[in-house]
Amino acid sequence: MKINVRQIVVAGVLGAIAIVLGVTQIGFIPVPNLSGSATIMHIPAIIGAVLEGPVVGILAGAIFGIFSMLNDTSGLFTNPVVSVLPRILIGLTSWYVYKALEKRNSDVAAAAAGVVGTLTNTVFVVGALIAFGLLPVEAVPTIIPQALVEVVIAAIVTVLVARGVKLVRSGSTTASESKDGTY
Amino acid sequence: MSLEFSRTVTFGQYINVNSVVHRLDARIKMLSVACVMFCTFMTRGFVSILPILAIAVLIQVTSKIPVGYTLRGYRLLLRTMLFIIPFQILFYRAPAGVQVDPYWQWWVLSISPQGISAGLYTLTRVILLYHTINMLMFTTTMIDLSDGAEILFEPLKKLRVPVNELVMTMTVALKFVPLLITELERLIRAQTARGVRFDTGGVIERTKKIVPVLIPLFVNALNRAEVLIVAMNARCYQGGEGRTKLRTMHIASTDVFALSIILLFAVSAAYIGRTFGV
Repeated sequence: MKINVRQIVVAGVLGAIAIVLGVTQIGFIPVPNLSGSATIMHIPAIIGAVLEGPVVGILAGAIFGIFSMLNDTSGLFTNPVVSVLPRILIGLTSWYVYKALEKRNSDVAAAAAGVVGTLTNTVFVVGALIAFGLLPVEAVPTIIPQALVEVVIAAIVTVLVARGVKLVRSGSTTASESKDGTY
Repeated sequence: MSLEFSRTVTFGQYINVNSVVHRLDARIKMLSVACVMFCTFMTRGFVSILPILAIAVLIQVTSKIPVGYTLRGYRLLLRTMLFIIPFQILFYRAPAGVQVDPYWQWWVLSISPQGISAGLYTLTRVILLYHTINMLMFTTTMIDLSDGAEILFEPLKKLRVPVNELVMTMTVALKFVPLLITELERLIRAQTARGVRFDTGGVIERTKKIVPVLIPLFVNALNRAEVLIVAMNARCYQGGEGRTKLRTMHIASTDVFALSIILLFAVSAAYIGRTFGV
């Protein structure tokens, strides 16, 4: 397998965004359930898959997974099958969905990628937690409101960010604010 | 909400003080961390986790990292744990053969002394794991970490895994973290100046508030990525093949000594946990 410079750098930067959303707590939106918050930390992986393809999505997801394993604050994510594997799959599934729908309408495709990517994350993480006996099956209903919120947020944010980045890349607008080259 | 993330976030920072731990070989440190983490999972209760605690204290003292600085990083961790621990106590299910005498019980929820002790044990374990990883980051430079990782994962190259590229991706990510934290801080200040309050509102409202922060964050980050891509291509970066190192790593006798002490403690923790289950 060969990974080119572009894929390395973009995946690294998106992974960094996931880490930043995590350490600053900006990536958590309070939800009234037991875990207390819905996350948007998986969104960089989805965006990576939508903008640059599966390799970037998988790598960005892997960084997010490794970070959540190393920076585990719950004792549940120390197992890489729970923390890393589901996050690697995010890039893959969301890319497939985006690819399939892109020709029809890229906004719908991005929203669908957001939904599928989020569900991949939730279903596989919760599934692995139950499989390893770290979460009782009875606790699953308490996760559903959080999962719904995450799906809605991911659908909205993925479309808007993908559009924003494409708009800036198309050159019809500029993103820089200052003249000295710092953004 | 605090706007000064760069002061409260300690993850992934290198702290330049000259100590024994800082001078150890990065490979040795990474192996030790892996070993301590693995053995922490093998512990079963407060007795078996004691040797791990001893390691944590030993590293904290010898590394000369200010205790206050280490503790500052735990603020966010403790805040999340405040949610998780009650959850774990309420849903506590005793392993077979353990007598539970709950104070209170309803459906699958209960509060019992066994549940509380299990919750506290989990908290200790999480703090120790977090401490181990943090100490590695505090005492090792990024270059040493990536060089060490490359050497440790070298055998995977035989399986055609692009080790150098993967390590480079991780390095890029960690390098960008402080930069993006400052950036995020700036974006949030800009929104706050326009009257947005990030700590209020329901789910929909919060999502609406966070989008104007996320879009410029992604756009600026990807612009920076473009610059780095050009810079790396201009320097003919081609992955690990045929690349040589300016500094080579050497394992000294202190490294072997440190590794054997850590192994002794960690393995004894795992042994106590496995055989006595305490």
